[in-house]
Amino acid sequence: MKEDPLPDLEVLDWGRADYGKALSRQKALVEERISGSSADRLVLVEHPPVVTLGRSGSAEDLRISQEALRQKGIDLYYSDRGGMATFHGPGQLVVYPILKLGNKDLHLYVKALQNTVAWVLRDYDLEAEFRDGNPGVWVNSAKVASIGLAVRGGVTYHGVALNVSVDPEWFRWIIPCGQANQTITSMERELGYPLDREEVKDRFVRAFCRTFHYVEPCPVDQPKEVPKMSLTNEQMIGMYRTMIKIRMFEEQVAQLFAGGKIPGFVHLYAGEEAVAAGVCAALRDTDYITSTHRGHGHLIAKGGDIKLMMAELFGKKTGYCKGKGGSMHIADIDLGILGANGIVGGGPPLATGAALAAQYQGKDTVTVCFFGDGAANQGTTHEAMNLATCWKLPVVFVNENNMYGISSCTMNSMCVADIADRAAAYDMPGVVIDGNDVMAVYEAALEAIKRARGGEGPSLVECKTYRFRGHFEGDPCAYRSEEEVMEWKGRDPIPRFEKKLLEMQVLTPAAVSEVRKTMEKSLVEAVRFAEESAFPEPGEILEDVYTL
Amino acid sequence: MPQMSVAEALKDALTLEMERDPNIYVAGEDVGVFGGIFGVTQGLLEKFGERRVRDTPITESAIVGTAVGAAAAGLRPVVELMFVDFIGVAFDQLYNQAAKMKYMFGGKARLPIVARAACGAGLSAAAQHSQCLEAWFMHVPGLKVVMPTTPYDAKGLLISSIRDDNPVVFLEHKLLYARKGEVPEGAYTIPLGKADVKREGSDVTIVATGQMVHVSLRAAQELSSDGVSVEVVDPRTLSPLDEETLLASVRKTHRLVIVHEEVKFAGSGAEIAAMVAEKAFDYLDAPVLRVAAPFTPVPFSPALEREFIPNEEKVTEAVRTVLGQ
Repeated sequence: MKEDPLPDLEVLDWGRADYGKALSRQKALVEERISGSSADRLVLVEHPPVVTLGRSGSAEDLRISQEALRQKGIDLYYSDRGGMATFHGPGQLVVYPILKLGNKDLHLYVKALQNTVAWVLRDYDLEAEFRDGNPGVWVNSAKVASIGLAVRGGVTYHGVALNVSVDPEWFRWIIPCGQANQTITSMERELGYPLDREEVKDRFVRAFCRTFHYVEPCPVDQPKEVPKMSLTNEQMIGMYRTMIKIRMFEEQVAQLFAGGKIPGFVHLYAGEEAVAAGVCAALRDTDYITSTHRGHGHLIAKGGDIKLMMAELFGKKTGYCKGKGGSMHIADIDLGILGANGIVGGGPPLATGAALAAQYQGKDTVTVCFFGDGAANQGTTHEAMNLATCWKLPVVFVNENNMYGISSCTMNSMCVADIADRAAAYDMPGVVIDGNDVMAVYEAALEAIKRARGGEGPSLVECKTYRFRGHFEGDPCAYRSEEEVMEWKGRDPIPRFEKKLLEMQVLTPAAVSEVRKTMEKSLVEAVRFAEESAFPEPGEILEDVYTL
Repeated sequence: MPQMSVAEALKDALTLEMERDPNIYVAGEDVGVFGGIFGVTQGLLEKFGERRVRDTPITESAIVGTAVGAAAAGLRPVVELMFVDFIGVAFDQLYNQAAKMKYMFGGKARLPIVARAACGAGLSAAAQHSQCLEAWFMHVPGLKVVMPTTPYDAKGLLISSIRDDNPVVFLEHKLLYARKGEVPEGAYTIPLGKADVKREGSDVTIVATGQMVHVSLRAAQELSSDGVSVEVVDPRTLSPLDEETLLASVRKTHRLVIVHEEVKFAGSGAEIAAMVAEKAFDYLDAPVLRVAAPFTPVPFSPALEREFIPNEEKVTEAVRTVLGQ
């Protein structure tokens, strides 16, 4: 039986723990990481009051004696981290990433930690400041987070201390980080209202994963959590129904195509449903999308009518495009669907343009650009992303990385591990998520869409996913192994979500079968409509070339 | 009536239209601060601001592509390609997206885009900055192709192109930017798809485009002192082509010489010649001749560029040939 691969990042919440004990535990984790018997870890902890002195610190960094500290209930510890004196205590979020850095530059790691803190602060509308040559994060010229590190065998430990609600008064007994005139602050002090510590922790983990490009983890040391907040039952059921609708539509099309009912080519979306469903659930009807040659899923998720779609696939005059477009060119401008597109990379500039129109007209419409791993290497995509950032346009680039552009595997056609790596080149946030987890897709998409709608510019959301069928119907798929296909079918987004909804009792088994039955009926009607509709008259060929 | 250069007339057209319709925006390389390298957009940035007059990175695919998306979402972009030769890197957005969206979507999209581009040789700008590529654009159903040759035509045709709800490729010959002529004040339109008889005559019809209209007019003037009466017709719009005006002229003169700066092989003249042969064969007293550039890239050296660009001598020779002289 094949073992589960090591998860990307394990998050360990040690609750409240003594500094010295936590340090011993850290060192044990470091050993595990060095030996390769564990994944990277992120430790979250809170310490009872303690002053710690780093390798460059000494008693001269204390403003009162060790005895006096103890009387105040503050412990003292000589630590092996870099830096001088600092304080840890209740209300401070301490984070210890135990990461295998390997050859990676330590300065870049520090910068990434700073960026992570900045991200969290930004969530609360606080603007981070940095100081050259001085790791840490400031807000309004007061220090809100300290960074102190150690590395052993290429693995980091110690880390970041973020003042969430800790009373800055604790720090007056030391010269913090060797800066005598340093003002210390906390997030609550800057904001003027109390914060939910769990929420801050959560945001930190999320920001950390996105900065360091981990797939968002499931906390290991915590009980299995019920998925959070932002989705109502109705929304979840909606996403589920969309995914079922897409899957059933595509399977029906596959059958009809094999039976010779559909001319030309079709490129089916089966396996990728969570991306379309999750993203479109976060969009308004008035928002726009641009799609790809594999567009049926996007069209359905954005509200497309399967009757009109089916008629179009059959080439009938009652189809969405009067039979003039076919599978790769279905569009419904009224639904904000700016079309499937037969040119790989054709969509990104169009999406940037629709976003330009929204900004120009002062509307808060957002445009989502769906594009694949193939399109990620096309020049047009890079131009669109660059211009989108230069002009701060409300567009979200949603990448569906299914690893293959026909037969070209991303391993051979891309020089970076993740397409999201390229986001930094265009100064936009880039995240990698499990594209087969519709809730993860929804959350990431929602955040990016909110960002865009709020005038903060574009983002890149990379969804790792897989197409169960060939590039086109009839593709012998000689370039993929059966094992790989089966492995991904094991992560089918639909049974995964169905299981969750049943566990949460958002759906019952009866409801599940009801959804399928209803979809089955709609499909039968759609096919009947398509079959019974007429083909376009030959004379129609000259219509709609120009707007008269 | 005021005298304006073609560049000034184009700017006038843009200004009037942008004042009239808030959805029109201008974008391109160096169109804002610099005012366009041929000065056509000079002063527009100051007048209309950064939202409406946008300097872009060097990013033709995105310039044209975003125009398509923006047009589909309700705006009226007037984008500039500094040189028509740069269309290559953006061509998909023009011919596969802009031109075809309306048809492929069954009539639903409306793409009121104008893509302006400078074309033509004569400044020793060499092979990649001197081409005439009308034939490429004419060949795409869904595009309209306009090529003015006088300040009066330039202003009226640009206003019409902007008001047209289709993607229009608007070609401006480099040597004509400075050419002056009378231009009425205020907005006026010249219908697209309507040719203009620039000089009336009875012995031979010359159909010419771009800078070649003026070369042909000079040749016609020369020939008139020899008693040869030449009619010079400027199509003004190449797609849709005003077949009626062209055919009426051929029916009158019975002889046709086509003069264009594009290379001869598969140029716009081939379409015009075939159309005339098909529809006015019985009216022709001589084969249709084309005076055009040789089948080479545009050479750099003035000595060679002179050889490349059709001149009055070559036009006169062709006219005499169809007259059997």
